[in-house]
Amino acid sequence: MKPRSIAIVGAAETTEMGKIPDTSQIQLHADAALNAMAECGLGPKDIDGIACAAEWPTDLAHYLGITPTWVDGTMVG
Amino acid sequence: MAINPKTLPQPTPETQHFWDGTRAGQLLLQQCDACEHIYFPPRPFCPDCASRAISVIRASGKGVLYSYVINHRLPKWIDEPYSIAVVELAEGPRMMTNIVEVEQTPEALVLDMPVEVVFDAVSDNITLPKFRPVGGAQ
Repeated sequence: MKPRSIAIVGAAETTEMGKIPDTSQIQLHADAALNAMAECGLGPKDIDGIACAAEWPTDLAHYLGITPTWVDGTMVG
Repeated sequence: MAINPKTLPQPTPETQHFWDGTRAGQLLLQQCDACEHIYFPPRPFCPDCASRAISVIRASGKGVLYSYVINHRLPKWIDEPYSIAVVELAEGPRMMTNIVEVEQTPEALVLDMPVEVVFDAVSDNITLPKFRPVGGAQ
């Protein structure tokens, strides 16, 4: 891989699909993120940025234990 | 302190146990089974190592006053200035709360002073954990 190139190393959805009435919106975000982290063997301390929709990315970062150096999302603009 | 029902916490599936705990007079935290990290607010995984193997533990209810402000810009349903505080619990996590049973002044609210939890049943469903100085106001 070339220096400074970008790759997708993990991708995942929530554990359950469809209507999930026993899970809050932020936990749905976290569930999918934890699944993606598990897929590639990374943990919250390995991750330096976060982008998301509907939740504030800073809220989600704090919830996941991530200290981001950048954030992006539909509510950031 | 008077409460506006619109500002009460709304329990979610992940936080319901915490609010059940406060109603029963218990301050509940969570601890990671894998790395033993103790954390708050509630969530069904460890924010330190991402393990989903976690347990609910009962906190001692002891802590110290970590930081606060005194709010003088009062909503119309509150009569007196009040503290908005962060308490650092003996188990490690920090919690936003109010300091009660003490004058709401900088002279009385001394940083690092020992505090202990008290439970304020503000509605049928919600009991808020608040903190008071250990041994009463100095």
